[in-house]
Amino acid sequence: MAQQWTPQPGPSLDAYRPVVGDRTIDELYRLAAKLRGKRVQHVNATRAGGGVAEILNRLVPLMGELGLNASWDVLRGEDEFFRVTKSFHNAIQGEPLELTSADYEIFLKWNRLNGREIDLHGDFVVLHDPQPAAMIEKRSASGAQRYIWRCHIDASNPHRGLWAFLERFVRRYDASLFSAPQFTQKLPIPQFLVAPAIDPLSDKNRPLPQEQIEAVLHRHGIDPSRPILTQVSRFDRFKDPVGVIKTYKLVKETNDCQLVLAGGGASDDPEGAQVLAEVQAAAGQDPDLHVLLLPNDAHIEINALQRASTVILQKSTKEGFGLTVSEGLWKGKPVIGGATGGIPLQILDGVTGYLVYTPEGAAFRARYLLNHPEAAAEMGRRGIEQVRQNFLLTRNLRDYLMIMQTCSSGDRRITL
Amino acid sequence: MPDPFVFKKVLYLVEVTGRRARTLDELLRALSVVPAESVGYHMHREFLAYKFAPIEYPNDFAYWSAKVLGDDILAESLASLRVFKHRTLDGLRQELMRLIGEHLIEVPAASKLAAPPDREFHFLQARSVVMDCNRTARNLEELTGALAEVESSSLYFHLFETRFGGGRGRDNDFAEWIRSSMGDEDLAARVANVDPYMFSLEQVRRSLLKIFLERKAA
Repeated sequence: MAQQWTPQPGPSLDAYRPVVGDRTIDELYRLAAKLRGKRVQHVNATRAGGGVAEILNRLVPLMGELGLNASWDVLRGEDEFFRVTKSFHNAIQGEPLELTSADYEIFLKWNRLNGREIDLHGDFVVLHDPQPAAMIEKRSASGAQRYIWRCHIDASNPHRGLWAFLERFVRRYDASLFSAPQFTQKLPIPQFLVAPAIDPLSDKNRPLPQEQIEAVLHRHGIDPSRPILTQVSRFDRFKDPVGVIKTYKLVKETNDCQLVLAGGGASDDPEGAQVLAEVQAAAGQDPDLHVLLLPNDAHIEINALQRASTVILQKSTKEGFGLTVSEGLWKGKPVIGGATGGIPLQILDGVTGYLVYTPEGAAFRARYLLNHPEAAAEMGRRGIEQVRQNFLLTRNLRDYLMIMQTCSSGDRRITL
Repeated sequence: MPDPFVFKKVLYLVEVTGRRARTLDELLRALSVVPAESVGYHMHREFLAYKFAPIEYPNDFAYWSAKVLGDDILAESLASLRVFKHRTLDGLRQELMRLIGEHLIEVPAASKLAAPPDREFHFLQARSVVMDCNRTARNLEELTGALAEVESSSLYFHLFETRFGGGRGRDNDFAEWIRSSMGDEDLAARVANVDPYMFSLEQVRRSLLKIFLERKAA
């Protein structure tokens, strides 16, 4: 059966006051006042692994604390469904794939099956990414509910046939949410821009004692006294882990350093094991190159690795938003990222890090930062502020509240 | 008793209009059809963002012309546009179109410039939520005290957001209130003359506070 997932309770909204300020938290309560008691139902494909699950794990309890009746349902699927949705994911991000009519049938079969198992009861039903998009077919005729499609991935250059197929469903929603303007498509419904966000109080982002950081490094045989380049991401070709190894090797020609490639898998990503094998083959036996396959709940481990890093890399060639960039910036580290997807929205080029296109470009910038630690530190300080202003969970929560307000009233300007 | 000055702030929810441009011709065509509020959004939104350095170009059109198309001549022209000389956003739109159109005639090569596929100009617009800041002022002293403390989005609201309200040209809210409630034409004129395009919001705050303090000392 599809599952209703109840996230573990986390820090209360008041705990965010020292991080974001009283005004931000008070704003949330005021925005939520008219929405109290409304049922907000999120539906996605996985409860762990990847940015969407991480966001929902915090967003759902915080919406509840604001007086909304928030819930989260996770799709059920077998390998055939996740194989197809992984293909859809890649094809939406522009990978030229052959999709067969059988693929579309499998997608519809599992959407209809989940549609029967999940009671779509919310006043606001938020379906995340393509996996559950066709569940809009279950929409009741009354029209009282508001259906919102949240697309977390880069749909700027999608597989045309697939998009034509999905668009039939997406156009029936009341609103859609995209992470960046270039990800949007021509649609007859409102397309709001909502950047995802990180939780500053989660295990992955909260401050850690130095001993804990060093213990993690020790456990993985990483030398804390020497520079560390780190990329944290799923083992996915679009994250270009092999390109990162090339970057490291170029840097190593002139600067002593270590490379950490750390990531986990996700239950909806059957391709990960294959990519991991390719990465391990490219890494060879270099003792300074650490390929770490971590469990999905290794949040403190990831946090420690980022905090121990000298430079963070996110050298994606395609990216939805790339929240690991904001995670790195929040740790006060300069981030070198691929100029793709949502990464340019997070890295202010030359201010909080660098945008690059090639392994060579990443290596050049990494060498600069290793040789200019004072510039790296200044970028890190700016990065923290950049994330505080734009990419924390409280801003994401605020956007959802505003979308629900505007979807309810239909007004372009609301006075509270 | 005159109405108090009520400090408000604005939160934006941004949406795409569906119009985008890679060239100046496309920009011109899109400008002619996008909602007027999209023009206003691109003129001012940069001021609401947190800044690590002074704003290089005061509006998105100038920034895109310079940084994406590499057309510095047009960027200069668009950056120096006196926005509040126009009484309506439609008037402002016409002026933008005139500047771009004339530039295309004077510099024909500009029509050949094209943005890379991922750097197109996306016409956006904002839905807004306006909230009280729970601060009011009945006199200059209270106005000074509150102005020193309200969040910068409140300054943005009173300096930019309300300027085209009602389809008529008006000064910023502080100047309007000082004129109508305090009857102080001289102070209102000084406040109206503070050019928000030349400063960050925090710098505007300091400029206004200085003017108020000088007025109180006079």
